[in-house]
Amino acid sequence: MAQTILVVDDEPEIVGILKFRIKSWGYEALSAASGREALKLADEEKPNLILLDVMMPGMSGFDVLKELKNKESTKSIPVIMITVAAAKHEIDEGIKLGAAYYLSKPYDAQELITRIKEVIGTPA
Amino acid sequence: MIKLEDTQKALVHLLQDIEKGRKETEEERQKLDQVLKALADGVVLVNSNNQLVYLNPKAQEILPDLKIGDDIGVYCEKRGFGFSGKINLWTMKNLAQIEEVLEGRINVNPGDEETNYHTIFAPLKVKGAERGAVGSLHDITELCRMDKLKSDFVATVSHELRTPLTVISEAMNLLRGEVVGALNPEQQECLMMAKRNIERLAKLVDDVLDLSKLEAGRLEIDPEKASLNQLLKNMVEFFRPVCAKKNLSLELKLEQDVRVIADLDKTEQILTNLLNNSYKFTEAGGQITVTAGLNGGFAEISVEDTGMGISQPDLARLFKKFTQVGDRYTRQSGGTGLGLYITKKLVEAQGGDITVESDPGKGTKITFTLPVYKEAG
Repeated sequence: MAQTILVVDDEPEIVGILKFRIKSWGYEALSAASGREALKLADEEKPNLILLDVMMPGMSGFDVLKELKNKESTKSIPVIMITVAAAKHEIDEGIKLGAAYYLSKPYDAQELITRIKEVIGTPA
Repeated sequence: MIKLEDTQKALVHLLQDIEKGRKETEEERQKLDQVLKALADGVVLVNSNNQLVYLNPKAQEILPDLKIGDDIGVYCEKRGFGFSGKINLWTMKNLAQIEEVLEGRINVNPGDEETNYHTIFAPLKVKGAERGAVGSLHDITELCRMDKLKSDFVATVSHELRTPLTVISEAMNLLRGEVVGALNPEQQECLMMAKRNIERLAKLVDDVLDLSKLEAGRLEIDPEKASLNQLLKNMVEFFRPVCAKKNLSLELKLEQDVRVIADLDKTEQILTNLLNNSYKFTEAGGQITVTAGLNGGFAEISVEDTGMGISQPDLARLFKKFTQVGDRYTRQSGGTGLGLYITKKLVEAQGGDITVESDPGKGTKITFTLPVYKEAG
């Protein structure tokens, strides 16, 4: 079975288009609209990769990343952060907390697939 | 012989004159006092020992615990005031020594970065009297709040614009990549048009976001050592196919390699803006030349084109916000008028400088500098 990617974003339109893209590349896609939901799904479904938005109401992407990396069951799941207008200190913060990559919106599909392949390989 | 009576008369006249003069001076003093009391700006006077000798009611309202006789520098330090512009704690401690009019901002409330007073201090030199200084404080808190509000608003709007832009652009990419089905050439052409304009819109959002960061002082510069020649080669190679499409020749003239201290992303942005401008304003068959060399402690990078050039009046306002060269060109080429303003700010934030030379009808040359890396010791 193909690797599963969990998409986390509070914007349903972004989730929709990202899932579309991910499936077109041959991966399986899951989605969560909030940090809480993402943590629950990550724990239950153990996706191979998480694409995580930073600015979300309630729990920010950084909060989610911290919890993921602190928990035994989820700490080995790689995370790529995708956010709007990434400032340098934000990128540093994300990388420090253990994100594999930090991409900015509007994301470049070519860059995204390159990074995904680097982290989890081509679809099995 | 002088009569006693005449002397007495002269004396009386003299006394009357003095009394009249005293009255006039008193009247003038009272008028001045009323003027100072009526002012909406705070006014303070300090003597040669930097002590407060006068403050009007508005100044007292702004600085409620300031008393006559207080050393104004010590007072500012104790209260933890913030300064910007030409006024700082050092000047506040040496007000009687200032030689020229100084202008700046004082923040009298360290807990709130918007409570600012536009402040002017001028030397007070009255013949025969000790030196001192006079200062005025004008409340610009509301202005600063509006400015912050504007920056926050722009940042929020830009953020909100990016989400739909991301979705539209991705949806179009999926269509164009024929991920969801084959397209005929006309459909492809329609999508290309949409894509070009989405990119234009995205660029506008980026520019406005940069602008709001610049104006809020939130632009981050991350300098590192870099080979200038390598940076320029990369940029020129990236641009070469674009220029070739418009039949523009693009030449790179390099001298010995220089290591600069620069923020690579920002420098790329500067070069992209300059090359885009040359591309936009140069007709097919023209030439764009990028040169780099050393000038003192700075690397000098020029982007020169054989385009339509810039007239003298336009040159003067070229680096100003929302400036487009000539109205008729605006329609011809599009753009926000933010590119060169942002470019200048990005150059200056890295310690460099930017200049322009132009000959209308023949071309334009824009040169910017970046500090050269020097080995320690």
